This record gives sequence, C-alpha cells and structure tokens, in this order.
Amino acid sequence: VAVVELEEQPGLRLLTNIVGCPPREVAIDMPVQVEFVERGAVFVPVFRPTT
Amino acid sequence: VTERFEQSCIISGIGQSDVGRRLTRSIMALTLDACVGAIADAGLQPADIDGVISWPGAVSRAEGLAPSSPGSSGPGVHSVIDALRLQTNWHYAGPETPGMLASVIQACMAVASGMCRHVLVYRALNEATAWRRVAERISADSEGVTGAMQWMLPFGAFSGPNWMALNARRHMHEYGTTREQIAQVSLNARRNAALNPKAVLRDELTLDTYLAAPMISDPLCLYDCDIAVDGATAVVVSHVSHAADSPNPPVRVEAVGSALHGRASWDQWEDMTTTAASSAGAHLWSRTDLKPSDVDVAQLYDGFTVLTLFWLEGLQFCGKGESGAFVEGGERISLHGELPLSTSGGQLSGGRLHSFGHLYEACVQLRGAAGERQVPGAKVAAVSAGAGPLASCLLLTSS
Repeated sequence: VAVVELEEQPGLRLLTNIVGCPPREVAIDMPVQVEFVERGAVFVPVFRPTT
Repeated sequence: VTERFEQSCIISGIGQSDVGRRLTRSIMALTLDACVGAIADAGLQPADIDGVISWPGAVSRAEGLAPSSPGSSGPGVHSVIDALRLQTNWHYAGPETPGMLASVIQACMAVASGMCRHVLVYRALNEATAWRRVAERISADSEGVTGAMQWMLPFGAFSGPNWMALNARRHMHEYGTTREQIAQVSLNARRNAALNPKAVLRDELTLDTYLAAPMISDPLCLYDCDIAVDGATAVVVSHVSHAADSPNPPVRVEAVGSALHGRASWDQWEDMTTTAASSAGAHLWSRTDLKPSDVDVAQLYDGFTVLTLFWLEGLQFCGKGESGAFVEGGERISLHGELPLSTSGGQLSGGRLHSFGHLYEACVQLRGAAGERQVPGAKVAAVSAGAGPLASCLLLTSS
C-alpha cells in the first residue's frame, strides 16, 4: 500500500496501491498516474509509475 | 499553571487479571478479576463505586476511526455494572474518543466535577483466544464496510501495521531513521519483559533475530508488532481527599493530554512523520509546571515500535525527527538509562493490553513495587496511548 498525493490538488491524499512496479522499487516522491481497476462491483483508483 | 481538574484526582487502586496467550477463562471473568482487584486495592467495596468508564465498550464494528476486531472490546459497562451490582451516578464507554486513556481522563472529569467520587475504569481484551476462532477480522453487514475502513480496506490496508508502516517509512525518508534504531524499542521491551513474570515473551531477542524476521508491513517486521493476549486491567480514579484512606500509595494525576490538532483521519493526517501524539503531548505539557526532563519512567504506547518513536517526539523527550538517534544503542531507554522506557516489557513483549498495561506498570513503578525491574526513586511517570489520529496521555506522580 502507499499514500499518493494528487498533483492537481496538493494536500489531497489517497491510500492506494502501486501497480506495474515491484514493491521493492517503489520509492517516496516517485511520480505516478491513476488508473482504475474493477474490484467486485466497484472500480478503485490505483497508481502506476510514469515512465 | 493554575489548578487543573485532573489535579483533584488520584488513582487509588489498580487491578489486573492473569495475562496470557490463551487463557481458558472468559473475558468477563478476567474483567471482573481486574475490577474486583482494583476496588479492593483502593480500600473500597463495590458499593463505594459510583462511576464506571471503559474504552471502547461493547462494540462490534468500526464506524469511526477506532479499529474494531474480534476480542478487542471486552464486556461493556452495562455488563460490568450488572455483574458487580454497582450503583452509579455516571457510566460511559465509547470508541470515538482520543484513544484508550481518554477513559481515565473522563473519569477524572467525572470526579473533579463532583458527579462521582470513585470511578472504576477498565480495558479488557481476549484477542489471543478470539483470533483463533474467527476467520474475518473486519465485520461487514448489508451496508458493507463503513467508516474509515471503506477507504483503506479495498487496497488491502486492513489494520494498524499497514497504516503506520507508511508513517514509519516517511520518518526514515525524512530523518534517516534506521531499522536498527527502531529495533531498540523492541529489544528494550524484551529485556524488561524478562524481569516481568506476567510478560508473555521473555526469551532473549537479538538484533540479528529482529533483522531476519519476516516483514509484516514493510518496514515493520514481526518484532515491530505487539502480541495479542487475553487480559484485563482496571484502575479506580478517586477524589484526592480519599488519599489518606487509601491503603496503598495513591498515584496523583498531574496532567492529561488529549488534543487532536490535525485531520481526524488515519490517512489524511498532514505530517506523516507524526501522529496525534504531537498535539496530545503538547497539550499535556501545557497543563503542568513539570518538564519532560522531570520524567523518571515512560510507559509509551508500543502497538508498533514506531509508535513509541512518535510518542517520544510528541511528548518532547527529544526533538522532531530525533527519536531514532534518541533510542540508538538502547542504553538511554534501558532500566538504568536516562529515560527507562516500557519497563514491563510493554505490549511488544508483555502483551497487548492496549495501553492499560502501561498504565498499570506506571502505577506499580510509582508505588515502588516493581521488584527486579523497579526504577529506583521513580516519582514521575508518563503514560501514553494510541496511534494515528487517536492519542491520549497522562503524567502521573507519586504522592
């Protein structure tokens, strides 16, 4: 799990998951982009590192 | 500092049930052991008790910020009042407070306001037994998961270590805090537990064993997490005028801290290198002429090691970001150090009595009754409870 702060609204944070990146390579201040994954009846926001 | 309400209160009695990994007795039996023990220890009869307060009460789901999980509640106050046939002027239990020691603070309010003279306060858990029988930690009904959980559970962040590991990582990032430093909180607890016959984990713990342990929620490993037990603890909060009649040395309540100055949220708290310990700690010191350097023993919350670091900074035993260096090597926080910490073994090695183990130990130390682990001449004790947005703390003194 990670806490992501939105560039578009500083101070707004989401507790979320980082996808597309091995946990060991996740780092503080890494830029990420939102995507949505279907979990049951809802879509939840997760984040993928931008390259 | 003018007179504060808490200064008209004493802890006149303390009681604790057996503490163990899987006790065969019911949580009600353990709770009554603790309550009856505390009442007798205060030199009172059940008929003298006119108030009862507990945290969190008989709750079965987490609507607010306080996690609720099997075995973490214990009997509610109505059950205890009925079992002991108490006649109360005030009773209360609820989770939406500044953490577990809010129950003691509220008892002080009840006594200082004249509503009550002797308030029984207790905290009971049987998580060790309960978790053996249940498969699901989080309860949901037809409305699904509500409260703070609905924002965290979908991402697999289902309990404290997941949430506080993020703060731990941020602290390491900002201040260079290391796992070796954090480990000292756990190693210190284990050393002290060896001197406490009621502690559940008493075998030697080395830094190598700590570093080799499995991760629970990186950077928090197995030994950064406290251990579930069955056990109950109770205290009696009385008016200071009872001090002369108290058969055991009364413990004075010098100051309380409960301020929540920040977002009331686990994940929206502004400064991730802190918790509500920072505002509760500052609140406590605003209510007394004593200073952090006057504290002889500190029983700081250690549901996870890193929470103790947040409390060391929040209660201003060191500067912001300096707690890693403060505990480095472990000497300063040892029984013979400058600030003996978690002298009973805490929750990490003694068992998760949810801050009431710390409260009990603080009273034992101030009474000079801690035997082999007694800090000589302990006169001032700090006790704290809570993580994230939940924080309450007490400054206690011997009379």
